[in-house]
Amino acid sequence: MNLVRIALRNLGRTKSRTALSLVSIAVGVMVVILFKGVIDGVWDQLVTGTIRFSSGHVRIVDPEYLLKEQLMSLYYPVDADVANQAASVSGVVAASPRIRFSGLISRENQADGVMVTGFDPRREEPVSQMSRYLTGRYMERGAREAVVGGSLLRKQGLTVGDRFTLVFNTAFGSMRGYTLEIVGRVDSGYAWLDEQLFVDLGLAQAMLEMPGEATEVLVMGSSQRETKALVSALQAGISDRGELSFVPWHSASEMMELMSLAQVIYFVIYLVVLALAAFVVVNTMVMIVAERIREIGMLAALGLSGGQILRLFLYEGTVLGVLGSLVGGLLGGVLLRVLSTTGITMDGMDTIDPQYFITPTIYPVFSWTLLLLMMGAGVVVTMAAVWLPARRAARLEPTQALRGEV
Amino acid sequence: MPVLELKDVAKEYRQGRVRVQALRGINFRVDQGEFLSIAGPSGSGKTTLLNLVGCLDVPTEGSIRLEGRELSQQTKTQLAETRREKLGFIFQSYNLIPVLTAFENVAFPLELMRHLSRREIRERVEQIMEEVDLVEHMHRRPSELSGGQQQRTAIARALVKEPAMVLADEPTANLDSDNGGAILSLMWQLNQEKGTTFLFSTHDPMVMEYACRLVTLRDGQITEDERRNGHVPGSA
Repeated sequence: MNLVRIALRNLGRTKSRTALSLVSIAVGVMVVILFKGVIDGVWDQLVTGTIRFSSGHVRIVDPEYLLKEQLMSLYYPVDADVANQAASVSGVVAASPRIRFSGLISRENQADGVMVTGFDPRREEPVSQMSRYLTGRYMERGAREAVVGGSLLRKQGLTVGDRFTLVFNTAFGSMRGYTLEIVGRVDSGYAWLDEQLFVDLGLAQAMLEMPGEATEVLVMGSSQRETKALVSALQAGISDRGELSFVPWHSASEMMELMSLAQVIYFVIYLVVLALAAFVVVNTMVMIVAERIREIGMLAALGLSGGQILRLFLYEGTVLGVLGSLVGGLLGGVLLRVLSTTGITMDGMDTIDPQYFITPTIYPVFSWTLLLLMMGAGVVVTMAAVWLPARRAARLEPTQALRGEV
Repeated sequence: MPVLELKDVAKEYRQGRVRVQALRGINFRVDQGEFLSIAGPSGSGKTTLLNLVGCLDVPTEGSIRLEGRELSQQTKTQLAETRREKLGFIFQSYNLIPVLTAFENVAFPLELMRHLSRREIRERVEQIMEEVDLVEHMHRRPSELSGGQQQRTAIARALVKEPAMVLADEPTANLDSDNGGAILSLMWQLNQEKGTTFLFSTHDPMVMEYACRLVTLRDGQITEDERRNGHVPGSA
């Protein structure tokens, strides 16, 4: 108890140095909390966007389609009925068959390339929840109607209620044109969605001469954490359809895999930032030990063991770590809370490939777990930083210390 | 049984490549209640001897027994325990803990001993503070005390746990002659009243004058061990 009291009072001996150490830890913890919150926001956006619009928790495709996906080939379809079969598998919440193809919007003398997705709005909604971004209405079953992304509408100078002609190749390679009426627009912030065209699955099947077929089936389970079990259940439940690939969400893009790796790298960066902040504490503690050499000798003479001297310095470091982390956690937490509501708009984000589902405005993720974890990390890193100078103090020979020799 | 007994004690240091024989063949015993001064010129081995007796260092050869317990084979932890339980230290530069008040400094060794209640600690500290005449100043920090008051606090801290022996390294070196005399007089008085054994290392003639036994060291050996009547304050 008396060691804690001495440690606390020792912090008041050089107030400016203690304040500097506190500020450095507080800034370190605050920066790490904000940084991690932003990274979590980007990750959250990437994962949510990828799962909802591109991969589901699991995507079922023909293995050949997977290899030639960039070409948007219509030669390797799956039976759209696979979606019905998947929906009956235990753990599946929703399954939506889709046809993805490319075409040209033809207006007057101009023709622009466009990506088109055909889906059944009723089955798609539990997967993508696109109605949240929809103005107007979804297309009717089999009707020559389209929902168009807001960016695409702007580029084409179109609006809801207008008509346009979509030119495309059928699955047999012949060119066709359909005139479609725009019945709704999508403004999600995701370039991938806002630059696309959506038609009804039945219409797409008829247009492309792919009756009863789809290019992919997106399957949603109850949680992304259950994906491994979901893949196994789907493989077991849909074994009579020939060879199919069941692609989990985390393998959906290189970006997802890179981000998974980046999470590990970022964790190291957080520790480095905290260690840099703790460097000031190390410096402070080294100076303190050097200044108090004779005092350490006197304490040893009074009968303090090496362990007690170690604890005395560790207590000082712990108090610095706890106070600094509390202040940093408080400031970082408040800022993160505000930013998680207002969002951070970053220039240049719109130049990132739309398939990576990153919007120009990032909403950092606030969580109490993050806050407590980073504050804990602040304390642990500070204590680790204090350990070496404290151990040096504890290992001093009393006679050497009494002579004031380091 | 003597409080302290040294037999054939030697201490050798290495200073770079040079071996320094700081003490050689030291034999002497100290009985309960002695007021003993170790004198000698600089480099004679006074501080080394005090360090060995104070369990701050261990001899290269020989045996040191404190209240019958052999010290030369003790581990660092055991030596720390012996210092905590059996020895009191008074240093030349007082060496009080600057962030604690005089009262807390004196209480500190008792708190380390762990077997005393808060009330017992408070009573013992108040009593010793009264004996060293510091009751009025006991809630001040060392920086608010004069040199003499700080050294009296250090004496109280050394004596409060009723140690087997108090070791004082040049206790008057930083004090003027009036304060030095007062401090010596106080230690003498406590030695007489409580029977506490004092062992000084000093060059100060006044300290030697007070001592009832004067052990002189030269080149790491005892050259003289003189028993005297010592100085009774007020009788000079």
